Amino acid sequence: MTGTPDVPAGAAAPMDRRDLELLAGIVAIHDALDPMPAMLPDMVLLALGATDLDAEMARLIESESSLAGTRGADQPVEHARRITFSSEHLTVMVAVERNADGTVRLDGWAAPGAHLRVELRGGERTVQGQCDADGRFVLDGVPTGPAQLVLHPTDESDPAVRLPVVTPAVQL
Amino acid sequence: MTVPPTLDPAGPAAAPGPAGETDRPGAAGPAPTDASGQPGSDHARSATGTPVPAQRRSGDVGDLVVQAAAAFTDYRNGVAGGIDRLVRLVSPLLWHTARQCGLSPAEAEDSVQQAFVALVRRGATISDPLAVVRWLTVTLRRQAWRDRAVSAQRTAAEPTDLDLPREPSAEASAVLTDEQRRLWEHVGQLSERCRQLLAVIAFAPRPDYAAIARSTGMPIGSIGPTRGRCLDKLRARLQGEEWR
Repeated sequence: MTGTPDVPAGAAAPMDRRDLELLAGIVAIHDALDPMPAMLPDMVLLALGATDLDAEMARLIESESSLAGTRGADQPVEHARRITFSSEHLTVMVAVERNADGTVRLDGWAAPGAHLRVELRGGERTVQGQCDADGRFVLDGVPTGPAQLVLHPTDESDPAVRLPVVTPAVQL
Repeated sequence: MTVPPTLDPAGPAAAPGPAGETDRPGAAGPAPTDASGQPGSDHARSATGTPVPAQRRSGDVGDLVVQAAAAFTDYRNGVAGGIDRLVRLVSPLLWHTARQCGLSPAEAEDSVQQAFVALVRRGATISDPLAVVRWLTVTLRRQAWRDRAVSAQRTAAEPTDLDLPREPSAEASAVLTDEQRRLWEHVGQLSERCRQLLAVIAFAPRPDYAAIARSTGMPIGSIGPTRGRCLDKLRARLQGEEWR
């Protein structure tokens, strides 16, 4: 389909000021009831910073929160999250847990992820890690905020993963 | 998961490719000012920012189309902060568009990012900056539909509440003003088709009957009259009430 479709007569009857007010009112209600996460623009800008990489983009497949139980009588219930990303050649699962000091710990597993180099790009700084022979990795003491994973192939990693794999940014 | 029946029944294959989006979403609308259609003519206009006609209401999507066009042109011309402004301007619209496609919050966050990544990678094909908002919303919708088709194949699971088109519940109406709550109650009493149409129109760069037809499954020819009827019904309900 190319070009502007035919707009039938009458369809383009102008909306008056009152119509526009009502539609703006509906937009405002959606904004109030289901607001965009405030950090989303920062997540987008972070993700755009990786677009110059010659890389495979992973997509978010699943993100689930679960009650991780209490850590003590006077500690609030902690939420843990499990996030799964997938690209053409790699699947990455990450469990995110909040540390008592406000940082987060990421327990990750990539397949086929043996010996991939792991990089967590955040707004302020980048945290480095390494997958073990089973494709598992741990990044601890990670500051909260928008962040994205980049998994780089190494000499020892599976040759099926030829390019770095970049995940979308998530809010840690 | 199943695909909600109310959105884009023609499927992604029938949607226009973003690369072919050379038509001008605002051309028939009241906002755009550049009638030349020449890409080169945008430079002088946007360096100082495209003027927004004074009669436009703030918060109207028409404003957004014009402001986004200026930010996109600045970005293309290498003006610092162009992409930052574009992202901050259009992200809320894309968020609501993704949620209307039935995406979960996490999926919506991903989709909004992917739409901008696609813009940075393939946006050179957009000949008219005024088309950038439409390009982004079309790209996001097409991708949401591809994703839903893939995940439906993968899980073959029963649909859940998360799969239904988003219609925020007024149970959370503690966050609404009295005026908004009254409007929302009246909207809620309209037919389902009217509610969907008004929600899509409220967020669509106007007038964009082709995209609205795909989103609601209504023939293009019936959208204008139906829009009028739905708005008239809503106005009749609100008559006699203190809504503005």
